[in-house]
Amino acid sequence: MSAGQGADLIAPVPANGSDINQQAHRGDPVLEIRDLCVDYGWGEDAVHAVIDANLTLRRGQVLGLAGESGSGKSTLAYAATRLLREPGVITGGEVLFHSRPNAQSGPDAVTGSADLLDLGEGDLQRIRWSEISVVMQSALNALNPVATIGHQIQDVLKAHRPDLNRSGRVRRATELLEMVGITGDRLGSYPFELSGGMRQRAMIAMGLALEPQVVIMDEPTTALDVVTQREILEELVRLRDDLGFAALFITHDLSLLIELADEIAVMYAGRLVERAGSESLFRSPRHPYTYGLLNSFPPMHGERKAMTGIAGSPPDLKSIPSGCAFHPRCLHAMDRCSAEVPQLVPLSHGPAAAGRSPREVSCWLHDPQSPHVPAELGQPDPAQAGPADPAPAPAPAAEAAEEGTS
Amino acid sequence: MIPLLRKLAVYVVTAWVAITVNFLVPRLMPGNPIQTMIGKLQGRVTPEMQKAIQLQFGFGLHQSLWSQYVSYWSQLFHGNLGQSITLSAPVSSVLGQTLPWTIGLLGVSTVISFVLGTLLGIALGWRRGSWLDGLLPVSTFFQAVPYFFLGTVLLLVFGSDLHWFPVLGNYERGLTPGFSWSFISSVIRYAELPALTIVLSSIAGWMLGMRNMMVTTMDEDFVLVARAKGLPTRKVIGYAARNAILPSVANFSLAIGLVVSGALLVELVFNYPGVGNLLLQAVLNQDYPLLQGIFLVITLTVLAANLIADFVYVALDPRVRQEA
Amino acid sequence: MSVHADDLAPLPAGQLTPPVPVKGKVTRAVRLPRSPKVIAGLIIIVVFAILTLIGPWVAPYAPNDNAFAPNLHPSAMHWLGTSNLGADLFSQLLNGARATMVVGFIAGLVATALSVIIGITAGYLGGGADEGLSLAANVFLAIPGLPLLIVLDSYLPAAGRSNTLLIGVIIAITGWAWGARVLRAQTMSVKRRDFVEAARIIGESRIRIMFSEVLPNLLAIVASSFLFTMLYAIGTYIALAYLGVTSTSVWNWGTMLYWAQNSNAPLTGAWWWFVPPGLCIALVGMGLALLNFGVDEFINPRLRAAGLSKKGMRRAGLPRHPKLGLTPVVRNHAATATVTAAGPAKVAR
Repeated sequence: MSAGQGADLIAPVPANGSDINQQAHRGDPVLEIRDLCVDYGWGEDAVHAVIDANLTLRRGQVLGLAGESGSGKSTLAYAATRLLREPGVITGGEVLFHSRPNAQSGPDAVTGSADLLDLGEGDLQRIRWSEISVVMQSALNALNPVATIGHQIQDVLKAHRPDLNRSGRVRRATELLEMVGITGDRLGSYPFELSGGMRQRAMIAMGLALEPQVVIMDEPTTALDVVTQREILEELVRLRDDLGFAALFITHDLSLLIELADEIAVMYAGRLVERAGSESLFRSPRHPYTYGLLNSFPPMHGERKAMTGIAGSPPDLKSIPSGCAFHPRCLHAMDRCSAEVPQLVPLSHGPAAAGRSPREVSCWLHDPQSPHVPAELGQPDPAQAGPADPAPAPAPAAEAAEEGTS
Repeated sequence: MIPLLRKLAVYVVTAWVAITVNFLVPRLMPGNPIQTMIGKLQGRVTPEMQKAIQLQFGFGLHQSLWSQYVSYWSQLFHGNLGQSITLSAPVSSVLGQTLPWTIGLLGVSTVISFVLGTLLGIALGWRRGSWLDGLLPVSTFFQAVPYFFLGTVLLLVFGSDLHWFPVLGNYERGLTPGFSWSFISSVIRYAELPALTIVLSSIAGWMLGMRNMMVTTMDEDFVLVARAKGLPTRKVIGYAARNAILPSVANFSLAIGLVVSGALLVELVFNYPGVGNLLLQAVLNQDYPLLQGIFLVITLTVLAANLIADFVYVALDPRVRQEA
Repeated sequence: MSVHADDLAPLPAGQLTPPVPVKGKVTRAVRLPRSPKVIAGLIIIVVFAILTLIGPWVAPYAPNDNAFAPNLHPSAMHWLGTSNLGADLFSQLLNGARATMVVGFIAGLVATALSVIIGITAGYLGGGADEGLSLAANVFLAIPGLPLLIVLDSYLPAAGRSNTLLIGVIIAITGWAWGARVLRAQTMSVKRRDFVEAARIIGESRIRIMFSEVLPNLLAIVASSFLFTMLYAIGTYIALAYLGVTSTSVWNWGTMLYWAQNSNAPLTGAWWWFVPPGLCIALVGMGLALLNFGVDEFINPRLRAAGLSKKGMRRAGLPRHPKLGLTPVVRNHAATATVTAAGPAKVAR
């Protein structure tokens, strides 16, 4: 709408020959979500889908966002990028994007910080895909059924890379497909001509076409079979290492995040209930809901455990229980839990590792006034074992992250 | 190309059904309408004419139904549609003179209506809740009014009262048909009001259909992704519209039948010398050979239009090309 | 008289979400969205239905009673004036409702019955039966209806042409194919659902599955098909009457228009002769179309103008349907809000 708006915040700079060293910024915040509130509808019937969400996505890291369906995790991500459909309304907060474009960003690139919630259509249009891209659950639905894969990738290039001519765009599109393991001759294929795995690869190639700083992945592997799922995840880890983008990875599958993510945030009924490094969250969950979630998915590795799951079902957002929304299902619920809403606060013990936020939880059990902490929620945190000795990482993803932070 | 072949087969069967209906109806209808007609014409037609009618309807020939059917087909293959009784001329030559006017008027107004209605439908679907929504009830009204009634009102208001448009006929009397500017401009002037009637009556169908498909398509992920890709708005609309238009094209066949039916009556109102007017004459005078010829030619023309729409559909949807 | 193109969409999966399975209970299937459109449509149709029943009784005079002075203008005595033969036009209008509505109703009923039987059978049985029935439907869709009806009706003896029941049935023959095609597509999707599978495993007969398991789930589409066919039938009947193909002594609105046209009423400016029947046709058509909107929105909830609730929305400066990919931001709920959707504004902090 007004392309000039926000020019003081985001000034286009020519990025030709820009040699900003992205490694130097690894671990710096790239997307900060502060006090984000999202409603569906307006007025008295409005449903509060996201309440006071605070999240920081750091450069080169994978932030996992977990929760059952209807917990508001996708709403949070789509609202933060202003892609949420009607009747979604953002009712408060800010989403700060700290842009440090790299060489691939093209002349369209922007630098500086901006609140995405303040930007007009024109500025959003420039940032979208060039700096923040999205990979959705079903590539079949996310790809235009009547346009070829090549055409859809080139549309992105046409919109954001006016410096490329036709042959340049074709070359880049071919390069991108080959990067995700698809031969270049598939450029002329329509989405329905590809297998499910190939379609998702093509979608990922498209998402990385402009080497964005942030990639939002909304259950990108849920629709695939287990084998393909694994292949795609490995591909993603490799690409993240090569290209250095930060990813907000949304899934209901917590065990998948444990291997992939650097940090994990758990959502319940529109609120974040716990946030911690993935190793810490896995070994020593602090919130009863996290504990329940960890016990409802078989881990991909490690010893077999009895699956206990969580009794009851997630609440209807139209009638969220008073106090802590989880208290009707919680084994450790106290009187206080149904009366007062716990806030997401840092746990008292220990400093956080460099480039990381201290782990947080919203549960009265961990309040200083709490009479006791149940044993399963008080396991020693591996991240606290020694200040300079981060936990041994079981998965390649975690190792990659460590390299960046050390 | 398999889907196109299937369609083609359907149209061949349709043509066969239309021809067979034409053959059977006069022979099987109770009350012997052909005999009544010949009785009425007694003494007013030449013996050759009488023979032509007998040949076409198999009346008084004492042939088996099958051999009548065979000779009916052979007549058709020779381009012989029979003799018009009232006009005392071969039906094929009468139709040859009138059909171009109808196809011109109908073709142009259908294209205008489809293009305009589709564009409006895209706008309505994209900007839901804008002032454009006011078009919805108005268009429903125009959709519900019979074509010929709307034509009558327009003729009265804009033709007879305001004299904005010439009325009745297809070009100014006294002009010699030919490729002269004065003739062509006169043809256009005289076609304006009938075309406006057809466009106003038929546009709502295209518009509402496109709007609904647009609203449905915009709920698809790939349109949101187009937005997320930071594509220019016009391109995002293009993604949605390109998919939303497919059902409109696929359903062209049904819509065109209704448009043709309505447009034929518009010709009556404006006394436009096309097939519709001829149809009225045939009905009033019970000129059965002419009536049947018109039915056959209209059906074949509509089938041809359908086939064109099918080709367009195949060109637009890669998934259909793939089906085997 | 035109058609919503999307009604005939090839129905890709998920485009036209059939209602939740219903067994035995039809309450859900017939509960229409209570939108102003549906209510307006319902009122129009009810008024004309009443007119159909009582029209001839309340008409002040007989429709062909040429007892008055010809070409009278509207007056207290003759609300719509008189014809060139001296008949009361208002009485003709009231009498004309019956034949018009009855033909429309009969044609709608017969055509819908045909399309239900043919569509569900083709969709459920599949294979050769489907091929044959689909071919028949496609042929009837491709033949232009009005010209075919003109040919058929022209050959009818005079008694047949004044028989509204017969005319209705003949119109139905040209009007069933559309509904059959839509119902066939929906049957194919319903047939794969669990409860149909279950019925098959239990060993229920095909006929029973088709009409007591599948049909109840398609009622909304059947209703839409009925409304559409009735709309088509009325338009076609009026057109046939206007052409003089049906008997010109049976009073319906098309016959009125036929006589008006033949007496040059449009050119002499006698609008009270031809405008009222035209408007009545348009009103009935609109009523049916509005009801159909409601059914459409029931079948395809995405068309429902849900959006945001109206309350306080305008005060907050919220658009009813925000732009795609531009989620509105309204900070500070209670008081004056800043909306960045319409025109981005800096928020003071």
